[in-house]
Amino acid sequence: MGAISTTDAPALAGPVAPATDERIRAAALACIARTGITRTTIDDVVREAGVSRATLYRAFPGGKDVLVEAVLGREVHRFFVELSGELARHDDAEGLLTAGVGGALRFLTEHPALGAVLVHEPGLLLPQVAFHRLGPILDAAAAFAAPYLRPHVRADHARPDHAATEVAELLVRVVLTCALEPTERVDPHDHASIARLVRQHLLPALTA
Amino acid sequence: MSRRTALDGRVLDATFDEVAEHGLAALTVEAVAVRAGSSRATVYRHFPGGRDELVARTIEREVERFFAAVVAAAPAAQAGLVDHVAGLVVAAHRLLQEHVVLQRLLVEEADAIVPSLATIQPLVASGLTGHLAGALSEADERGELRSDTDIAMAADHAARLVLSYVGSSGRWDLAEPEEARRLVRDRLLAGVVLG
Repeated sequence: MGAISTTDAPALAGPVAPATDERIRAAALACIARTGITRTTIDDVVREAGVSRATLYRAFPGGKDVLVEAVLGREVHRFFVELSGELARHDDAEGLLTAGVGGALRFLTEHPALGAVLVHEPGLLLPQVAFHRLGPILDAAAAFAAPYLRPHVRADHARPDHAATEVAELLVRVVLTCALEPTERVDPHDHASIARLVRQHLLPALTA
Repeated sequence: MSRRTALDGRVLDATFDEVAEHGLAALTVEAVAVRAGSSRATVYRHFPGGRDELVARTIEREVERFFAAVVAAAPAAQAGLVDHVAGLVVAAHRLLQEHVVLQRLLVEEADAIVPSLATIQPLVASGLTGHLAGALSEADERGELRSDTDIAMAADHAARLVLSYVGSSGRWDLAEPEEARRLVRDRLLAGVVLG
């Protein structure tokens, strides 16, 4: 790994070690958290990661666009892994909803890079989650959440799978709107505030 | 109407027509001035922010008109909270589909239009939240709500979801009044409306 990160070896010199790949992604994330996506340059990332430009381009042959996409993909993956961990700990519907909505909201609102993009360049992110472009995101996130909700749909429901998916989609909308348009009524860091939202609105929607 | 207000209205009409005909990306203050029968200098005197201000004010005015049309098309709040809110969803969904200019902008110029909508979004959200808070209070007086309902929270929750579903209907067919009614009754207001 030392040879790869300290020399400007040509791109044909072989694959980059996974640890280096990971270091570059982490560096890119740190740069984005500081200045947003537009102002982050390959040179910034190279300096932050302590690797050569050649190493970076060998790991991410398309350069910045490919790197940003890879970082994004990793963060989305991490989001779902962390959330599954939270959800697996709850058998009761109220605990599940509180952990899921609270955990998802905390991840999104505390994410330094996402926060920087929302502040510095909302025009880059918002068009990706609005109107017809929201459809695929709703579908993917609802497909993730529905199996957790399915056991809590009323036993006599005519279409329980369908109901679980509908409620999953509703929860995704609640999380996205509260993350992108924060409200004083839903505070991700105040457990009581999330629990109130769940008891008053989300649990009744799940058991309707 | 003062001369100033009349000119402002004409300039905003011209902005809307220019965008409708040529798209948002091609919009210039010059073209707006010509269409409004005014001069570039006069337009800048009334709208010092230039092109950006014209776009923001035109969107704002369209949103207000749109909101008024939606409320007018829905059954009155006295008819019952679920029917009223479902009516708002159906009307907003239909009017959005029928809004030719907005549709074209959303599909063809999403990257240009959505940031502008993002600045207008809080206005729409607070307008709708206020409207729903009023409708919820009236429903409460009629005995339609559970006694533990926090009206301000319910209005905030219902408003953000109505906007979300109207903007992207997902798996719901909001052209169907019965679908919209079920969405509102079972998912949006499930916790506040008495069975």
